[in-house]
Amino acid sequence: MRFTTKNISQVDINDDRFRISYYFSLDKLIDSIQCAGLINPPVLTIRGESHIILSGWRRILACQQLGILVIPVFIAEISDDLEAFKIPIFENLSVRSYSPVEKAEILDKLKKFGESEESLLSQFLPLLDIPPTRTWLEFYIKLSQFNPEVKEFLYTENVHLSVIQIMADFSVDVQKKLVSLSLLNSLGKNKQKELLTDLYEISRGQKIPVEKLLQAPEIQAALAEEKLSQIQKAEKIRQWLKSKRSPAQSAWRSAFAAVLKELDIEQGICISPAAFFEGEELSLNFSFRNRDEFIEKIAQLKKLAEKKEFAGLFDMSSKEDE
Amino acid sequence: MNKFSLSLFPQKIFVEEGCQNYPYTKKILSKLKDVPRVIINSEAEDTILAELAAEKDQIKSGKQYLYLARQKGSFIKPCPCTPHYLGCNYYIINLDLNCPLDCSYCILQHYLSHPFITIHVNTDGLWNQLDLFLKKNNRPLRIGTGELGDSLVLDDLTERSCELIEYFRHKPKAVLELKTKTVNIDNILTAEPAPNVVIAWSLNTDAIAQVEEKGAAPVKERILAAEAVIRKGFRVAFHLDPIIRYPEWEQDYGELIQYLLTKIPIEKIAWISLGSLRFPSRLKEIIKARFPLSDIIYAEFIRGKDKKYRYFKPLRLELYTRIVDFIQKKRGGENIPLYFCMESEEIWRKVLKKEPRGEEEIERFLASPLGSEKRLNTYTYSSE
Repeated sequence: MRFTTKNISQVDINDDRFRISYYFSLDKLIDSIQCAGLINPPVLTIRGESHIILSGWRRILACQQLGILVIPVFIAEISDDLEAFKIPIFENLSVRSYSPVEKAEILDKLKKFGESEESLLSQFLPLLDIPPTRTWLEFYIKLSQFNPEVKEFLYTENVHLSVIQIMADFSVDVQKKLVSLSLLNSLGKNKQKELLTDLYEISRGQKIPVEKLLQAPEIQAALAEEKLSQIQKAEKIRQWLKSKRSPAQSAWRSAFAAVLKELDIEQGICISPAAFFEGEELSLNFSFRNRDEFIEKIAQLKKLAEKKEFAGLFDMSSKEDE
Repeated sequence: MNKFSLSLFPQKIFVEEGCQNYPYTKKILSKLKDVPRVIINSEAEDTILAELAAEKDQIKSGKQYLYLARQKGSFIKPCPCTPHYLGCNYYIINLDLNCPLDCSYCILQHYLSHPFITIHVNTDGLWNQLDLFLKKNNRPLRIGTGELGDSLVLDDLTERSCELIEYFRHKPKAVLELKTKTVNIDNILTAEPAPNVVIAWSLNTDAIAQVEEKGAAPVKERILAAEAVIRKGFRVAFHLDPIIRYPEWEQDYGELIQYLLTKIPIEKIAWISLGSLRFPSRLKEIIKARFPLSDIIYAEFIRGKDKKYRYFKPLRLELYTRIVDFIQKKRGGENIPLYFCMESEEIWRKVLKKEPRGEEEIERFLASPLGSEKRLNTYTYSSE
């Protein structure tokens, strides 16, 4: 590798064949270069008449923004793209770990440069901390083909890999739509997963295209509600999807809540159905501080059991259609 | 009939070192002369797994590998059933593990630790173990080979069915069930029927079988095979399991039952079991990955008391009630012994209007007295 200086205008920044990261911010690096100068020279290589970047995209773009004309660089004289690409991969790995979007970019480029599938599986997936299976390789290649806007969202919002895996189930158009609706931004990882899973499973189970589901009046109304914050909108939509995913359960829950309301239960007494109504038993919870309170609660419960509506708690099937 | 073809199975045979001289090994290898085989040592399973490691679909690829090995544990085990639901005290004989058929919903994809097909060849130990087991459990009980594999799919290779029938003929308190989704009944048809041997088929609607039961025989052919073994003199049983909800389920299950009970004499049916689709969460992931076109996992499920996904209870009640109605409205259908697989006492009570007094009562109901016309009267339900 040869050390020299280069005029930035001589670097072809349109050739991004070796670029791994796209969606970064330059702010901190610009501050750093202003304070301390360019400490670590970028690495270039030569293709035809052009000098192209192997590693140091951020550094060069930051210098360009700062109006720095000449920068120190290393020139790696490697004519084979596949071999050359290993330089930025290893250089970055030595200082940081990659995001899922970057890993996808690396694997896609390695594949395009001719790296064999066997080598990707045995060498590069472990290197990138990915389980060495074809399923994972296919997932990352699929991720590399996501729309750039979607990839930018996943990168900048630091979306968890498990959420990206669910995103991969959707078409490119739906992914774009989901990002543009800002449905995921305000939710935590588990709620993001729940929302996306429900959306996907409603679509598959009820044969409704996701695009059509996203146009549902309930979703549109939630999105249009000006009083709601972004997080409240997303939460409202998540709740609607949840009930749409499980309509029968939702009807039973509503019916049970309606009976409880009719019973007008004293505060401090809680009656709950078995989980998912799977068991027949109901549970009762109340607390008391002394014998008198206990006797009072028992009396309240006795009155409760005498109400005619009480029987309704044990027969949801007759209530669900009401 | 559309028999499961051995022409493509297996692609390779692994023989555990020390198993070469078992009669079963010799018989199987002689029938698969052109299939490459290797002898592997005690780390055998790791060797096979290493071959499969790079495969995208290890479960599918594993089904091409046949492993002839020793059963190192017990051949006979109680059916694991599922926690918190009512079992039927069934026993399983672990002869073959895994199945070359490829049903999307198959629990073996998740349950077995290895994806290859294992045939246990040290059956000398089986008969001793069975003798001891039946002596210790000297009561009417049901036992079968169709839980961790299909009882007949490899029968052309192993010819086990004939040996099992011969053995159980002399053990009249036990009912042997050979359960299959195939029409591999050639060996059954050469055997002398025994009153305590029941040949059983898992059935589903055509729509489900065609999409979800890859490699299995068409449903009508299974029923025709049942007809054939009845003509030979055997009793039969059917398992409507897993019952699956989809838009046309009611009509399709109605037609299936109508066809079944038109073809099969009711008095020859030892039992019909009912079970709706259920699966642990890991199996859901497997189905999604291996069968991306299958929609069966996207219905309305809850996590049951055993943490498995199953249809929300009112939906299960609806399924069972309609299907039981289809069976019982057929003349004589009310006499067919019905039971639920892995269901709650509430389901028994609400659908069959009765509730068994524990698993032992279900066992007695289904297993005794064998072949007797009076057997239906011996089952006493506790009143509600």
